[in-house]
Amino acid sequence: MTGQHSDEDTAMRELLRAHAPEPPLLGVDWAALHARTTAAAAPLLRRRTGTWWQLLGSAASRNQRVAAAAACISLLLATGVAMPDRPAPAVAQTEFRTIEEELAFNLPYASVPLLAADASNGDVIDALLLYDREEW
Amino acid sequence: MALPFRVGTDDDDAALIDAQEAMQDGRLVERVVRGDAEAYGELVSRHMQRAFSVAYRVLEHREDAEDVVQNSFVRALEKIDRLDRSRPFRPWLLRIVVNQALNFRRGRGIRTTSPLPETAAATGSLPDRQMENSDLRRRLNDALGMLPEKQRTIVQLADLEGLRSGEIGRIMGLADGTVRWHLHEARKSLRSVLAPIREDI
Repeated sequence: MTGQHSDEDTAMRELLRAHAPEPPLLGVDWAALHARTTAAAAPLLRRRTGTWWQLLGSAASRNQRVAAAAACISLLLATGVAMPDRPAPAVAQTEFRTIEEELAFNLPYASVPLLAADASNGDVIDALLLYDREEW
Repeated sequence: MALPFRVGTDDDDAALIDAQEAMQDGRLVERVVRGDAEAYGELVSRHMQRAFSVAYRVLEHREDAEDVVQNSFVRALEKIDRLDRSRPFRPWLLRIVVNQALNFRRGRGIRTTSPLPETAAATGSLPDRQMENSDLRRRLNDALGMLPEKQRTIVQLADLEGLRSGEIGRIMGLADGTVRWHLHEARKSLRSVLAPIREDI
């Protein structure tokens, strides 16, 4: 910026300051404005200092029915009462047993030879025949 | 806190004072965030006059400017969690004030309670000097009114409120250089209108 510009800017600034209307600072009741402003802000400040139960209480007083309904829904969801039937867990669908385990489960009295390490095919066939008879 | 001794220009001193005030504001803001009403009251006291002054520059109406100040402080409290704590509070607050004042002005149209003194020119009862001032004031007001809103606000903040371009940039959401360019353009426009009656500008 040149010196001439700087001088012109200064002259312009002085001209503006001399002739633009000054804010009427003496005409303002500052105490009243301060009081109005802090009063308007008080609810917002209280919201910041309130404990959670105070906030909950104040919310309930504003809209008790909504709060009560929300609480009921939360309770139902938490206890699972209102939950629809859910499909069995995927792991249950894919669970499988060997023939020996299935036979041992259904025929506990035949389980000893079947689950033994040295169980023969004959033992399994006998158990199967027995299982068939039990089913029929 | 002891201040470091320094030798500098007025601008340096002003910057140091600004930095100290910004630190004090920062501490108050921390307390306000936790809901401290006393700190909020102190913050209002510290910035109320400047906020009013800026609002008045835009609105030229005392009661409207007071309403804007009140609304701006409440709005600031609503948004205080969004204030970047590493930045000074005042430009952030004044940005809210300027926006609220401009919205208010757009909403109401033009209205002032401080009309230019026309009676002098009409009656011819005042000395020449006062008539000249009256004419100058009217031309100046007209010239300011003809500026684009952004430039007018920048001139008001810079030349009338004495804010520096950096702070005006933060208030208006503009780069420092952009503020200086707008200020240059605004002064050029004002000069072209006022030059016929004032050779020194």
